[in-house]
Amino acid sequence: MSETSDSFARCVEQSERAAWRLDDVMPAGTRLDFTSPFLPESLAKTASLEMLDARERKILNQITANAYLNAFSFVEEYIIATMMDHARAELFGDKDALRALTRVAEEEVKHQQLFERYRIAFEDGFGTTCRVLDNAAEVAGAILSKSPVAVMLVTFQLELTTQHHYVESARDDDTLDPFFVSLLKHHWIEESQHARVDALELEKQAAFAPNRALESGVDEYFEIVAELGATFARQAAMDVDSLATAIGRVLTDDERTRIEASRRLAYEDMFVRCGLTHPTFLALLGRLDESAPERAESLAKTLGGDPSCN
Amino acid sequence: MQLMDLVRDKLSRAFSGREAQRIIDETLEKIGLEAIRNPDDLLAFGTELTKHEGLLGVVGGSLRVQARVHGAAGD
Repeated sequence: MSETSDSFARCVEQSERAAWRLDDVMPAGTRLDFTSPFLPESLAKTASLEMLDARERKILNQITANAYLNAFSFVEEYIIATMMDHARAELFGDKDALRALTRVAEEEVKHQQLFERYRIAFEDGFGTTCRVLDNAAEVAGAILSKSPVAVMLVTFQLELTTQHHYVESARDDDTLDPFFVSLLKHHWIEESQHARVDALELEKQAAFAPNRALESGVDEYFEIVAELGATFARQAAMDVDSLATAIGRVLTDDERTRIEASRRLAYEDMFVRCGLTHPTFLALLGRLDESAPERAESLAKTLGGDPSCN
Repeated sequence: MQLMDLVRDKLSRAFSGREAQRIIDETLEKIGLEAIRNPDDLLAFGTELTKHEGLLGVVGGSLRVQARVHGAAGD
């Protein structure tokens, strides 16, 4: 992706070619097949949990996959709001930008509807209840209280991660459930278009915003990243309870601690580190604040995780 | 593109070019500015326009959001 050669008109054109219909990807009433793992091991990170047998690791994989889609639905709540704001800023302005931004908002709503369909199918078929984050409005409010530069940076980062999740992790893994891989694919197809629109919006902000706003925006971006880490830690704790219920046995304190730590690592890696270390993200971050890429790389090292994200 | 051009273009799309210039001149005078040079000026300009009803108020609201997106600090 080359941000500088992109234009909103080109984004709209490519978005129209790439778009898909909700009913084509997941018709209402679709039933899930729980025979295979849903997420690739590089994302689910269950292999090191030797206290779990193969069936239990597969169940934890599926619990993590369910939480993964819920988390995207969760962050899409604030992304829709911010894209509507950016679109409103283009009323009577750049019509291509207005179309590109409203398309992003519309597609994000579609993704939420897709993930809601998936959530219902998962609940129907999994057999036990899996708790997931449910304070989307609260988190959206916290993120939207930050500066628009910070909000667009975290949006850009999150949307870039879908490339790693599908193209570099799931696409060629034939051990995974084909339906879940298809969900990752269709999500990535549209999110990769959204990331290009984010980049153009960030370039506009870089052109018009005073330096103090760019610098404070970058600082607030790092605050959001830290808050996301805390949010995913809550999900990790829920996953341990969901796993214990699903496998029907009591986990020792040591087992619970290790499983919870592995979930925190998985979510930090999927939602924070993969974007934080993405070369396209770092290049744009550096244009806003030249010292920021070094801060991002230092933060990424503290998260550990999968070096293949780079 | 400068912020002043952006405002002129937006008002010209919503109204005529001559009407846009009249709105700009009157509004700048009301808020005590000679031109829109930064996002804070844009926010003040947009806020003044939102005092009008109809399309002009809508354009003012859009300019206020644009000012915030581009880093306006004040209100």
